[in-house]
Amino acid sequence: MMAHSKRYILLADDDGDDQDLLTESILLHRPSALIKTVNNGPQVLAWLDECPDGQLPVILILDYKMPMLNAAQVLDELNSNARYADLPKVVWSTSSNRQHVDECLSRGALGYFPKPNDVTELAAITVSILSLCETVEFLAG
Amino acid sequence: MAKYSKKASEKVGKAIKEEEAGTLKSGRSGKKVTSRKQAIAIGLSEARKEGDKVPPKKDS
Repeated sequence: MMAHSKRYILLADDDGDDQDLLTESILLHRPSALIKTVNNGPQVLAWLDECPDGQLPVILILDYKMPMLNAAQVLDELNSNARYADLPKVVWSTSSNRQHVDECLSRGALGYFPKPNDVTELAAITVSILSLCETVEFLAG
Repeated sequence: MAKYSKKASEKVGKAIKEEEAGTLKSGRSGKKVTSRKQAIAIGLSEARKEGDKVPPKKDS
């Protein structure tokens, strides 16, 4: 894994197309953003585990339905380590199943976004995520 | 207007042509992409063309 001197967004999604679409949308709204992508839950945990203190992502975006570990399971793993207590996490998914939403929110996700059906919905999700990033950066000073 | 990489611009342009021809497929899975993804990819492309960006956040 590479070291990151700049704050970045970590996006975990096994769907490469959705990775690309969200990345494109974030860059459309914030051209200076740095986005790193991984493809499944274990890769999220490995990435974070290798991250030195101070180089954690500004926010973690998890797809709910990923191979091996879904978002709720990843959140469970992260919650077992105090190091990630302040790491903002959000979930997005093609599923808007209430149980999935509750699982994630009760495990500390700041938001749960159904994957968009059009670019307007994607823009709204993007703005929400970037607002969370800005809030975190502001609070971090 | 934001600048985008040549690669990204080419990718979206190609996707639009394939969508118009009904042959758009995922580059990773090889499966035909869903209308959801097509719609979003086209919308992003149009937003880029128009420089359609959200207004800058107001300082409070």
